[in-house]
Amino acid sequence: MAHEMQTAVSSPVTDHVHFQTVEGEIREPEHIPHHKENFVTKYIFSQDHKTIGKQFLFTGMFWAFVGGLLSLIFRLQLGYPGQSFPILETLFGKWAAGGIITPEFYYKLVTMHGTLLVFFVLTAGLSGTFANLLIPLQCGARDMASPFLNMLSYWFFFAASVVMLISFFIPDGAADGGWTFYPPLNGLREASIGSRAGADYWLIGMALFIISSLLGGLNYITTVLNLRTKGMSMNRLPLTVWALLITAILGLISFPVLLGAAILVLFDRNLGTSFFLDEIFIGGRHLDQMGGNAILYQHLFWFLGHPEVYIIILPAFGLVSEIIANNARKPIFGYRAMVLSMLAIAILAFVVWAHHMFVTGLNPFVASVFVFLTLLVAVPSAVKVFNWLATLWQGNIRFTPAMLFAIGFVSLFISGGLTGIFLGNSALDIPLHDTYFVVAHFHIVMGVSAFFGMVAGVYHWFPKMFGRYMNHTLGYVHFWITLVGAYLVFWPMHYMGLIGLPRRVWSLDAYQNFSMYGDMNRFMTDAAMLVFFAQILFILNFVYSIFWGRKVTVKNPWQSNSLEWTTEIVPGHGNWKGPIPTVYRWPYDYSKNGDDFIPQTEPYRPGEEKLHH
Amino acid sequence: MTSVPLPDENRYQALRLMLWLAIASIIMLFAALTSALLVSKGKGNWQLFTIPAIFWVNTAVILLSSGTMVFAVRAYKSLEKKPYLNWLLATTILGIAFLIGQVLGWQQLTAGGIRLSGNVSGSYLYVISGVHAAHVVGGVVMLVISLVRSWRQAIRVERLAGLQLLATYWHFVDLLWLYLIVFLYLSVS
Repeated sequence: MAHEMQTAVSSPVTDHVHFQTVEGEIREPEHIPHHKENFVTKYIFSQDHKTIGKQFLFTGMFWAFVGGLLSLIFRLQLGYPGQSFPILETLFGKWAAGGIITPEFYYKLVTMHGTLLVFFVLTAGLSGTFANLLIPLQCGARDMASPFLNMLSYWFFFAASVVMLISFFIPDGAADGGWTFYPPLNGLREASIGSRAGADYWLIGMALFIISSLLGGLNYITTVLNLRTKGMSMNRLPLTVWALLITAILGLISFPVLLGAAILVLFDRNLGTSFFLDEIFIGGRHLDQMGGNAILYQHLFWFLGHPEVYIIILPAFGLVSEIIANNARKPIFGYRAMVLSMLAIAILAFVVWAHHMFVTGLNPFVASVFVFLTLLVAVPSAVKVFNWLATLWQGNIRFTPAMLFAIGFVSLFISGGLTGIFLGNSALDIPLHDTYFVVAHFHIVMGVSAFFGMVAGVYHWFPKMFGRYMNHTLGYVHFWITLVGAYLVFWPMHYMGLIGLPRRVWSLDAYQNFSMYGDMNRFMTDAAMLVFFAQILFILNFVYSIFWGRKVTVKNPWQSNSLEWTTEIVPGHGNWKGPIPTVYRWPYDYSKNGDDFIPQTEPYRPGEEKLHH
Repeated sequence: MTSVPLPDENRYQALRLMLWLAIASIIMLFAALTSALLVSKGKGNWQLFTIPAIFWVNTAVILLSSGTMVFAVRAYKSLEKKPYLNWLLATTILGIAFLIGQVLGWQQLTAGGIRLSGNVSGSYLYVISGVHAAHVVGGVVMLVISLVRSWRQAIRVERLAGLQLLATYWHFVDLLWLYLIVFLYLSVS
């Protein structure tokens, strides 16, 4: 391949100590004495991809905590309607007058829970963390193609976070029109309390977020395509890198469309245009804005929105594939099929968006085309599930916390994926769309699944990030409570949805026929609290282990094949002290010819069968 | 592949890829805005109007600036500092002239009764040309930076690739405008 030839040509001038990024600075790895790195450049405005990855992780975990807490507050209202919790009034004042959260507050909570979890946790927290940590380490690069843009990517995310956080504390509070931000509810300042300043904060925060995501994506793609070490052909890449690459491509193509929609909403809100507004009366007054099209916004939104859910789940696919192969001590089953199915999912991502819009009056013929395309997604998804199960089959399984979460991911992905077949069908979606069935579906298949993938990744790569292990016993407790609890929270929602319990409703006892679900709602709220407390356990374990966890004493604690475990236990900036290792084989040679594992850096032995390249 | 200091060729290969990826995402932004226009137009209630002539003058200006950019790169290649600086300066001035022209165009539109908050057909023209102008502003800022830098420093072959990246971006915003003005003309006139 061309890039290998270039390497061969340039290798005579090798100077392994200094290295250069594409921005042209010469950098020194950390072991060189008098290294110029102060506290600020090392921990705050760092250009080291590993530090930036940790910054994304910390910020993502902060938002996961906040977002989870928001959901507990609105679950209190759903599980205990009408019951007063004086502490809520103490904390939130007028938003929970008399200890009962107001409808306005409820909608703010739901909106911000969705926004934070979808974008700030499962996009930035997941992709941002693991693309930064793993792409250079597993491809064999000193750093990202442009460490400076990479740093900017984090700081745009940080700015987006600050804007979102401020919106919680302004007098009218944060946005309240749903994470999908549909106009006209969000397109008019007069439409609701949260549509005053809160919605502008939301739009600006999201614009900053999109810039962060695009800057990150540019780097991830370029690094994978241009900066792989010698011998690391594309078909020797770990599936994590493949997944993160495809994720970045999806983001690069779909996020600009959301930016376009956000710009148009900003104009509608603040400059009197009517892109999405038409024939609206507020308080008996007919608005001047005429001729807009609210459905147009939904098209623009879901053209991003659907790829977005794959942006969330694909990195989890990659992390889980790697962890399952490593802990089953078996080659991943169907490497090529895994890559091709991810590519197929990525392509289908762009032609299924209207399945979110079956109830908008979409032409039934058009709807049937989208049904067909949507159900096609089941094929590559099933291939992946089959391959994970086949990898586990007869494996010599090590049940580490990371492995348990990876297996839990597969379970949740199957459970949630099956209900996707219901909802992808327009005839079924139309009655189910506005019910808890949809809430159950996307929380299991996307929310909780991707969260499991992320947590599995944290347990597995924690030793690489901090040079210490997390506590396994706490990890097991965390896993079992979370898995069982997540099913207890979200499984009953299917039943509720099937008989028509509407979502996005503040008080379900407004409907007599749904009062039969009062007990079940209370049960789900209690289960949600239990799950949340298990996450606090995880955070405590995480923080404790950073400082006082059991130290890692070997380079390769999981006996893994991929390149990140050939670095020092805690690698400095530049990743490898000496030359970057050359790669001779794919990363999944586990249990081959009597060897438990054979790292990628090991050349083929005489007579060894080349199972894979 | 980077076990060695990246040779310049590799460095710019990476940066070039990054620029093309950025261009791809900018194209997606305008694909979203222009397809939104088509959807809105299809809904009816679409006011037709004449695009002020100054927008066509601006089109000539930005096309011309692409030409001067080509000459700037050529001069750089043959290491002629003076002509290079002149061509780059000409490109910058034309870029700024384009931006000023766009502002004048918006003013003429408003004076002619096509307001931003009026019929949605006019709103699209303002927003699409405005978002494009923001991308031209980015290009002009980079032109000014490289002008100031080149003024102070000698011409060095290693810097050529950087100039070529800027040229690629500049030609892109030029072609993008050509697409947009033709598209807008066909949609609103």
